Amino acid sequence: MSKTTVSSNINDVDKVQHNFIENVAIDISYAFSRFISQPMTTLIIVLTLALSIGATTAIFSVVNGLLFQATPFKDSDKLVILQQQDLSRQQNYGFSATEIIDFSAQSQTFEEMSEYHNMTFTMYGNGDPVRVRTGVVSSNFFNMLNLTPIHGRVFTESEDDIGAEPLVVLTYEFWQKEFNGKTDIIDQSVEFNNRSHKIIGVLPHFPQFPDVNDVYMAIPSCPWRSSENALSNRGMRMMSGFARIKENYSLADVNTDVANIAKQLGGTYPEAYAENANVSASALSLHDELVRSSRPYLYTLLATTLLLFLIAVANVTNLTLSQHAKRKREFAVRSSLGASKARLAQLLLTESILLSLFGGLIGLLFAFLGLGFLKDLASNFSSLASEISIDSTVMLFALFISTFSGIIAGIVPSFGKIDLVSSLKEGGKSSYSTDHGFLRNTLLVGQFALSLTLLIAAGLTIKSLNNLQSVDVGFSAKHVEISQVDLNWTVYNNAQQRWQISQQILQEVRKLPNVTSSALSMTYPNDTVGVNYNKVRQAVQLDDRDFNADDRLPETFIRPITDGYFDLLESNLLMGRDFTADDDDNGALVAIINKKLANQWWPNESAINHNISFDQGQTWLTIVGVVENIREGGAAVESSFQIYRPMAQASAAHIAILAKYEGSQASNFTATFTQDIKDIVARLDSRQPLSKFETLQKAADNSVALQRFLAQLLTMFSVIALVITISGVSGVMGYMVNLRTREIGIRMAIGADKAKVLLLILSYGIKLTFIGLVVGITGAYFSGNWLASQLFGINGFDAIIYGSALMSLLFISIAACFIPAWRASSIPPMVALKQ
Amino acid sequence: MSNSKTLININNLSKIYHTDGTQTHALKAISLTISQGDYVTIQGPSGGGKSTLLSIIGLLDKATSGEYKISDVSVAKLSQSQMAKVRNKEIGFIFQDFNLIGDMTVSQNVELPLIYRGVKKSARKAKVDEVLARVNMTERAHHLPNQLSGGQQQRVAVARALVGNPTLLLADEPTGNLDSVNGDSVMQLLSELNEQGVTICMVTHDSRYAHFSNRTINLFDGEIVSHSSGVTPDDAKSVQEHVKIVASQIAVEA
Ligand SMILES: Nc1ncnc2c1ncn2[C@@H]1O[C@H](COP(=O)(O)OP(=O)(O)O)[C@@H](O)[C@H]1O
Ligand SMILES: [Mg+2]
Repeated sequence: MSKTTVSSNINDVDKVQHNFIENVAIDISYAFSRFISQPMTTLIIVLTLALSIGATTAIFSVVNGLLFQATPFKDSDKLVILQQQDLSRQQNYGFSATEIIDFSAQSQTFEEMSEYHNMTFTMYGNGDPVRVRTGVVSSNFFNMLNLTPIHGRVFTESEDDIGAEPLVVLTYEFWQKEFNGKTDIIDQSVEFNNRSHKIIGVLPHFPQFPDVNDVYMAIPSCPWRSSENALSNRGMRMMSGFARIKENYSLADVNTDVANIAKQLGGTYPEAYAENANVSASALSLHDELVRSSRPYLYTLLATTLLLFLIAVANVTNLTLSQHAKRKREFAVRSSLGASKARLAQLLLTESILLSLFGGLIGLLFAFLGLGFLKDLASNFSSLASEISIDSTVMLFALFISTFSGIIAGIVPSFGKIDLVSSLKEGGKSSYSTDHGFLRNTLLVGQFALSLTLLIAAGLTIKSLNNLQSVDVGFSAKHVEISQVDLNWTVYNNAQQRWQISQQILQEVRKLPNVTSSALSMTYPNDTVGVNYNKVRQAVQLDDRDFNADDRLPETFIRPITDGYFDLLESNLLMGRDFTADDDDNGALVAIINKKLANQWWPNESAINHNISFDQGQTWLTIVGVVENIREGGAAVESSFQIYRPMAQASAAHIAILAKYEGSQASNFTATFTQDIKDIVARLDSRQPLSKFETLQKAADNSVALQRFLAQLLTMFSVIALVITISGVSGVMGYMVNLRTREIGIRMAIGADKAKVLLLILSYGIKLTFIGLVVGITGAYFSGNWLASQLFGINGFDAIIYGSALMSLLFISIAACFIPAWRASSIPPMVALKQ
Repeated sequence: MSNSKTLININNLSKIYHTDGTQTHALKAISLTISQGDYVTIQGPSGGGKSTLLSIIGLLDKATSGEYKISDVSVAKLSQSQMAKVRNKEIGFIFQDFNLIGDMTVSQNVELPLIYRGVKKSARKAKVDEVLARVNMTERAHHLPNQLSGGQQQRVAVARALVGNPTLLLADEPTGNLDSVNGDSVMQLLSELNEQGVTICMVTHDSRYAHFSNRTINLFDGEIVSHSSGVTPDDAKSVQEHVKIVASQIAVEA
């Protein structure tokens, strides 16, 4: 036998490095045979990870889609929304055509300004007439957003000139829906209202802002935009401005720049502004504006899934520790055969990472499966929902968190020293406390604490949703069917014509069998389209005081309605009367105001019979009624000031038809209503399309969609967390009982009865639960306070929610401890002693 | 053999266990040398310190005080990973309860020390086949330990101890869990190995097997109470003959 000497062996730098890959391969193949021989543990670990990684990844994909990737336009952080302000009146407004030219010419910080405004047209010439939401934009709009058409082309600069041929570009969705994706429509013409427009291109799908449009039109195609008044009147500020920041400039630079330009223009053209206006302008990050409303909810969601993930990691680490304790002898044998600590750690890490990658892979599959569901939910509150996808960023995220959990669970058991001699002798049957017992207990306590935090957060979120849904919104959404009509304003181009058709529609609706009540209105509560229509921007003159131009109220709206509107909504008239059929275009001008406005104007007397004027006394409206406050913008938003006017005296082009059917409670009349309205409108004007059907309930539900989304997901995560925690508790307790079987045998042999043994085990588990819950309350307190600052109508501390979360976790823990405890107390002492 | 090289040199070595405030003097100032090619048997009553001594010799544990040199290298100076390396290359262990890894097949168990040494796959396979043949376990190469009898498991353990050509084979009551027929066959194996030059240090209760060795050390209460320089060659021969006959019977049965 040829031998090297011991000393040379000790110091030789051997080939271990070269064998790293082979070692990993060997470890992997060993890991697989272990997984197969331990199917239950493997399954629990993989499932725990799959659930938590799946949930975390799915939510990350939502956050990624809505927040991080919110504008998939190139360098989206360079895109800004521009707006002008009158600082003295705290009023924002857009830009007029001439101002856009001035700002573009004078700005140092952005290249040129893109303009945007939104119109509704009726399209003819392609089957039935359809209502078309239209963005009217300058040719540089697409370039700013880095959009390249998938068919045809977009507008050129010369096509911005007034008098150029009317052109439209279709959005991808509209092209699919109305033209079935046919490419031969390029260069064909369709009619928009009364003018023929040539289709020159199809845009790719993109998240639209500020409105979701069907088509985009060049400036000269819009009759309003190309009118003499719009072109020359500096005060006609109806366009939104967008711009791309120049290289090397920041948002702050743009802000300074546009403020200066606005100030200077204000000095040059004082007649184009209100008296004593303090003119300024500012820029907002497009990205920020897109995500502002949903950001706190999405961060809350992400934070809670991370809690869930931590619970899972703690659980898996704990399971791995228990496994490791059972494998003490194996590791001691390996060590006696010459495996170094590093080599053993590598083995553990390989196994653990392998498991977590499995879990991650299945989790990713879960995320894929849940994606459609999440997108559906998200589409109720975000126009960017279509941007949610499992892209490479999301996959990297999944890989990262899987590897992270694998490393944690794989590395923790390597801490601490194996006593080789005793491990080889007793094969792992050492006392419980010496084997990472403290660490294991700490992890379990951590799981309890995090679960409690999560449970309480879910409870608070549900409570917030409940509070939101039980707010007195001033109307009842039940059983109200709605159809929207956008009148072709070229055909119905004056108030009389608009009211005429509106009235005819209403008369026909009221003739319908089974319709018990009906009304028309320009908008209705939670109507996302019309919510900001008819805002009163100037001061209103009141009959009992001098006019003061500065007495302008914030957020005041004129809402054209017909008689029966408040009845239908079950809104209470607090004073005076409702409108009647006599309040028509021949009758005296009347108005109903809401309670909030009545209190504002006449806090100490009745508003009834007071007169108000929007034109400084030329025409007066008599207040005939005061109605309760209706929350128009969703339950969470306080009611604004409302002035209701008879539609006959204040006609609208955007009309909502509202109706209730007899016995609505029993059956769903949406289909009947849809057909009825289609028939009526077709009969009255076969060229007038309908815009949208919905129920008032659906509109109200959508207004709390984000909150419901949060509550539903948090509930789901809490359930997953509880399942994981149950498996964690029973795992740790089962392991402890296993180790102490012999001790239990001895106790029973010397006279302990079943109850004492049961108590011994149970008290151990309950003690840990208790510590966990105390720690958890602290966590819940902080997270609760944070939630209270983000969510509607809750306090950070809620005794009932805290109490029930504590009780349910305690109950679950006792139940999970009871099974192993019962098993332990049922082992015959002789069998236990032989262990 | 008395003039061959010294492999193990132990001087004034003590081991004290501290448990719950009590001290156990498991080894008390022991001095001992083992030369290459020796076959040393350690005997003594239970609790005498035999396993403790063997673990220290095998670098599984460290002494509390005293000096221990293996091939002139002082063990006290070795790091954990250096000790692992010495265990891997110089020492083979055989335990009373075999200590095979349950999730691994016979050949995987035997291959393990070579993997830790970084031996190439092809070389590993040849070596594993060779030692399995030597302990008569070739046919069981792909079985799991729990599919084998105690005697077969111990032969696999011997193969695993041998596979790396160790200088020193340490066996702690290798026959303790075996019936006499299987025990004899394992002892026969060790005896052959010693004849081929492997140094063996074995703890045993069974005084019959002490006769295989050329030296016996008696440990009592942590102290060496007597050395004996073995048995007469004639005695050894007769026992060996007996063992050989039994071993061949097993081979026929297997
Ligand atoms: N890990 C340990 N901790 C405490 N005492 C131990 C430990 N291992 C062995 N001992 C004690 O050391 C003494 C020697 O034990 P051991 O070497 O196992 O004896 P033998 O193998 O001769 O039966 C005994 O008294 C035993 O109780
Ligand atoms: Mg012993």
